[in-house]
Amino acid sequence: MSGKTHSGKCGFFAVSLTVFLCIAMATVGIGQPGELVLPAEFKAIDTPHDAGKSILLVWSRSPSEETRADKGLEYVIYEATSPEGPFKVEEKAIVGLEDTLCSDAPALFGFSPRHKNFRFVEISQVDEETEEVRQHWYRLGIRDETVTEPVMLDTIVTAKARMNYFMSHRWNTLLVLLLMAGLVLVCIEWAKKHPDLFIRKIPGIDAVDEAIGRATEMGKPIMYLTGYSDIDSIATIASINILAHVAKKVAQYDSRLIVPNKWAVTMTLTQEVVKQAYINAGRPDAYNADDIFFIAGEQFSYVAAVDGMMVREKPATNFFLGSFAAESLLLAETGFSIGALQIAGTDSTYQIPFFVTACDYCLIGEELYAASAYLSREPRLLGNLKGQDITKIILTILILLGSVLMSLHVFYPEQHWLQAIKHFFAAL
Amino acid sequence: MIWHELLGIWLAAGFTLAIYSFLYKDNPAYKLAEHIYVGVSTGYLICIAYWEVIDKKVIAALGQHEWIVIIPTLMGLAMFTRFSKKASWVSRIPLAFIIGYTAGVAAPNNIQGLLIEHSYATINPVLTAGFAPQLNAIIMLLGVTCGMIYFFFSVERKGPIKVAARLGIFFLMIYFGVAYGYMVMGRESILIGRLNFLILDWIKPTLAAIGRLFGG
Amino acid sequence: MGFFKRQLPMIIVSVVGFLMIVSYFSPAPFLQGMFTGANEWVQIIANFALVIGVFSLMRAHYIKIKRKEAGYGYSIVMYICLIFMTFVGLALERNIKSGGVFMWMFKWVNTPLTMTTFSLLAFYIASAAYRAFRARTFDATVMLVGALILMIGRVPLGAMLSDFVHQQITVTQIIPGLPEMAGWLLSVPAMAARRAIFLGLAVGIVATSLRILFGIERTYMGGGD
Repeated sequence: MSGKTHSGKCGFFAVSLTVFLCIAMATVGIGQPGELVLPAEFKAIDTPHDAGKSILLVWSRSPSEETRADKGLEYVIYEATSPEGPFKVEEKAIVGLEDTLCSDAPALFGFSPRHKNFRFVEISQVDEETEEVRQHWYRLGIRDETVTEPVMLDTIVTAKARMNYFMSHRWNTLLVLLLMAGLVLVCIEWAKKHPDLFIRKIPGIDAVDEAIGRATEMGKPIMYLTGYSDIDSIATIASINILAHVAKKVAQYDSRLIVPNKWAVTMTLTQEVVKQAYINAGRPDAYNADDIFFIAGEQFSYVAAVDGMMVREKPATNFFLGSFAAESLLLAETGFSIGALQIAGTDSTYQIPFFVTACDYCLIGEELYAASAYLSREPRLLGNLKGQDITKIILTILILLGSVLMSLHVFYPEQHWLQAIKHFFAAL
Repeated sequence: MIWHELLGIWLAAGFTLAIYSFLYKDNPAYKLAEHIYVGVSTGYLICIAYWEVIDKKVIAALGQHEWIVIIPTLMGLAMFTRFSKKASWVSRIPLAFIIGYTAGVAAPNNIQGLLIEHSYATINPVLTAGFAPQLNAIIMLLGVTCGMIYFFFSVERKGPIKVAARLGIFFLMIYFGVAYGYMVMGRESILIGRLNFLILDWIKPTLAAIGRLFGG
Repeated sequence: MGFFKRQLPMIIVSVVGFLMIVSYFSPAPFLQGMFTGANEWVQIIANFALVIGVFSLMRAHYIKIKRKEAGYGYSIVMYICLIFMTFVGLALERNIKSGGVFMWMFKWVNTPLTMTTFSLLAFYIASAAYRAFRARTFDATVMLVGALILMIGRVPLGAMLSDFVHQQITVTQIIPGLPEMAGWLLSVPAMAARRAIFLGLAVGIVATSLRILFGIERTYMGGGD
């Protein structure tokens, strides 16, 4: 009986002690967290889509990130020239918790949700002195302000920096490019069989005849500007294509065409195109190379000179087709003041409003690129327009579908595939 | 004030007024300013082209035995065949090079920078928390879709396509108005900059100098 | 000869273009080097071409002087300025950006002319707006309303006006203020239209580039054959 009582007292004491110790430990634990927990995984991989200059070190997040985030927790990368060591810390290889999650770099890792649990660092494998690519070995450590020495993971990793010939993160751009190239070719073939393809009216282009006719009647010249950009802009090439058709009509109407240029290369091309147009119209003798000239090479001296020329020559019609910047309204308002009929068209979104207000007709954005095909009435080019439309239809459908799926994703956040279309359009 | 700076201010003020006189009508002052401007700016361009490109990228490269630069130099020189009637076709080669470069760079760049980027920005949840964001998302989607439909060329505008294209124009007009309004303020500030120059750098010091002259 | 005049340029266009596309998708150093190299080549060619441009400019003014056309005196002035600036920049001063006569000309002649010509926009923007907004069409009205809301909404007057109306007529408080309206117009309907323009543009630019690369569009080389 007494023994029983004794053992009962002991039991009570043991339980009390355990509870006390637990409470004490827990209390201490609040002030001083337990040991730093090392990441479970650590590996080295070649950096995708680079030219064989670097590798990526990837590791799973340490559970200590949750408990000791306020203690300046960071990872340290140690580097050695051989697997045996010695491993030394490099300044560039101290990795904090900001923007180092694999999910922060979809260009390297894609959009998988599990990448939230991994961190990474990109390490160059190029020797700074010899500039040669070499192979090094790495270890991972973890530390915060409570420890003097980082806690080290035993794993030693390495990877060879390999040359990648394809930037895999640009696969979406390549796919769209191939799709569009395919559509261009298919639609051209299709258009050859369907020459009576419907193309909607483009008012600015329909007015070309009227504009040239007006100049002929008034006995005044026509001024054609290809814009602010050199030939390094597709809008300028589109404009030169339109010029070819305009020049041919001008030659037929026996009017005078003036083309002041801001660039020597565009001047050369516009001369070539106009000359050929006059030949095609059967009037090579009417071509005057001096009417297609270089007027000034700097943005506003070009404006000053063209404006001056406009008020002196008083063209009956002005064409402003191509890329334009601040000069758009400076030219168009002067053109208006002399009573010219004005047809403009630009891809510069900020300048379209100015042309819309100051010109009689304005080709908006893509219409500039469609104009050449529209004017030429050539089945191959018209077929190309059809291809452009199909691309836009596909794009519209994808945008609508993508938005619906993203809406569903709000209700089913664990269904990551619902973001697939949005992620496809990520420019990485 | 140093004499050449004083001369500069007076010249600049004169040019400023000469250009503004064009607002009234074309006149000899504007013509003079215009021709000086064309001469000076073209001279400036020639010097920049020579020192920044020909000297740095051609002559320096040849000095370092980078013989590859001979190819673009020859292509550049080939442009001069424009002066000859018989050989002018040679200039088509450098022109072809530039056009090939332009088209090859433009295609992928615009897919990535315009098509992909703006599609990405447009695809968003339509059904979100709150009435206002939801309405905005729907308006955005409607605007983009109808705007795109406006640009269809080979589809006849009748029935729903006509309505959508009309709505597209409506959205475009809002954009044009807003963009116009947005640009107004930026442009006014440049005028203010010019007026500041005229008043603070030219008229004020001149009046002060006259005052000193007559007031002792 | 026809091959060199017609086909060869087309082949060069296609080959250079496709090489540029390939180099866009590949990090391989020789392709990247080619991309940078091509860019420099284009600059070099364009700068050589400037000579043709300048020649054209000089010829145009020479004709005026020779024929003693009205205002040929201005052409003489142009000649003097062009020759003076070029002589100073090429022969007298090697380091043109370090000051001296060249930079003085740039600072006191070129820059004020540039800024003044640019500032003419302030007047033109007002005159064009006045005229366009007088047009009584639905589209012009939409544009006008958009522009007005933005112009007033983005200056302090807009906020003051909205506050005043909201205080005087309580019912109007359900209507957002002008600054909010301006912000909304910019970020929702205007942004939607801008994106539609951009998407259309992208398709247009890419299709035009492909037409050029495939040799379907050849108008720019003179004639469509």
